[in-house]
Amino acid sequence: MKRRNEVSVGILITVAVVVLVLGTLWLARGKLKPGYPLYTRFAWGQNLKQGQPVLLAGVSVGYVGDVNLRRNGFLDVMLRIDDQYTVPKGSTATVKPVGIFGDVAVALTPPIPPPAASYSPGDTVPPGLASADIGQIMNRVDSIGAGLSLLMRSLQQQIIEAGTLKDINRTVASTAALSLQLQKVLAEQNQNLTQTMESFRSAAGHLSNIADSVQIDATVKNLRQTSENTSRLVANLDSTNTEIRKLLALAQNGNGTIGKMLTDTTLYTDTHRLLRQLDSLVADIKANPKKYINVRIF
Amino acid sequence: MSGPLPQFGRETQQFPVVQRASIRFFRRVTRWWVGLFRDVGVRSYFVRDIARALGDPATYIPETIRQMKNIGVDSIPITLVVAAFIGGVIALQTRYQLFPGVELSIIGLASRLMVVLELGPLLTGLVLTGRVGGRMTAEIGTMRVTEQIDALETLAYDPVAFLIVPRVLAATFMLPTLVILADATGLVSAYTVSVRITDVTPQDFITGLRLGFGAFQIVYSLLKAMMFGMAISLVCSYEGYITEAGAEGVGRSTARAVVITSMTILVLDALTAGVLGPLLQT
Repeated sequence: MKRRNEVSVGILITVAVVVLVLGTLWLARGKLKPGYPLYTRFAWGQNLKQGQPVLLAGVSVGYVGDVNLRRNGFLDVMLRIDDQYTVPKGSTATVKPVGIFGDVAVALTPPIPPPAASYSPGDTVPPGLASADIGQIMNRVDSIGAGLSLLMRSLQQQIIEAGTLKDINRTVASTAALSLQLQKVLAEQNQNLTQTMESFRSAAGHLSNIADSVQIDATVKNLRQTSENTSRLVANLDSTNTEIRKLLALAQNGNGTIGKMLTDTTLYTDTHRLLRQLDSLVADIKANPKKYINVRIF
Repeated sequence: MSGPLPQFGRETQQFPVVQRASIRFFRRVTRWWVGLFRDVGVRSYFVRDIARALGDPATYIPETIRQMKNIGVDSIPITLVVAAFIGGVIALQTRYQLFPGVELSIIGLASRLMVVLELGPLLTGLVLTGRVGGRMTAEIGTMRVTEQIDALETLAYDPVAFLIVPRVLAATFMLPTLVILADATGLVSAYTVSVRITDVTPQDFITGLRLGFGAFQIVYSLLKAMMFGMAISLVCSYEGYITEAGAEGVGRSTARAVVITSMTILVLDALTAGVLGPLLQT
């Protein structure tokens, strides 16, 4: 029993230790073999630590084996590259962010086209141009934010505090009302247009009905007759006009009775004198009626 | 505390009501503090006895192996089952609570952080509090009320070296062992559930699982497990060791041991997070 206990406890502890060691190595490296070393150097402040992935053209080929802080402002970094991968000569190493959690990876960028020669174990990979880190991006975002804040303050002053927004609101309200009225007018016009079109259609329909009937013949005949009568009337009017013109010419020349009446002033003078004598006679009759009216009954 | 009190003047009953109530209140508070310090002192003596008993390996090593088997090997099934369910549930909940646009690799990261840093050690500790701690208190308490411990002392055996030290050592070393297996099982379960049930790809999960990993996270997990194991064994052994009043006392001691141990584990968990948490920052 005692021996069995020892064996079972021993198995448990062994399994736990193996799981612990292999699990930790796998989580830290991604694989169990260490790979061959390459070295590079970065400036301080790269957020680098052991176990971060090394990418060759975007493919994970190893991990960061060690990071040593130097007093000259640089970090000496050892990269562990898997034995199955080779890094082309001329490749450069940069630190780039991975994901949204602030983790970073070492990116090895080979030249295009990649040369046939590769870095040997222990070689140093030159650092490339670093991409903007999160701090720089945040600084940029801060400056943009400050600009936006200034812009918003100006907008606040110009639009809200100066009353422009109210004016815009009023204008929009007026425009809306105008639009409503226009819509009403358009609707009415549309209705009228529709009615007109319907009337036109019905008139056209009537016309077509009329054209198809016998009435058109009678109407045309009547029209023709009317036209002929009108022609005759116009001819008669022409002749009458001619006669009247002749008569007027005679009258203007002083020929005939009408002419003499129009041109000779003697008649006018005589008539005038006769009227005056009539006036004096009427006045005399009014003044002396017995002189002219003598009534005797018996 | 019993016996006639020395007379310093008037008896308490002769004081006015308000003064009498104040005297009783202060007397109660004083007794509470004295009791607290007494408990701390008694437990310190108990720990001192354990430390002293460590010098007698011939007595405790054989029993330690047996206790390691009881505490460690026999607890594997329940530990793994709990860890498997916890890992799977974490993966599922994390996936379903994610809003669109978030990288799915966060599920691997969240699973690792929750299982390794928190739930692996904590739930293993709480489960073993019930399974191992209760048993420990009941065993030692029964031995106390049936005077077996007195018999050991009569036979010149150190009962602390024979009964307590093996349990403390076994729990202190077996809890981390079980937590390693629980962490591994929880992560495997989280991976399986994520890949089989949700739309997370193996690459997504593994990328998140390895993201920002540091070896100290494992050390942190094992350190917590070790503290929890020590807390379980010390509290439960002590409660059993001081058991009185027969079978009822054994039951009362067992229940009290489980409650105190659970609270101790939670307090230790919070303290560990507060003290060692900053070291986990990546």
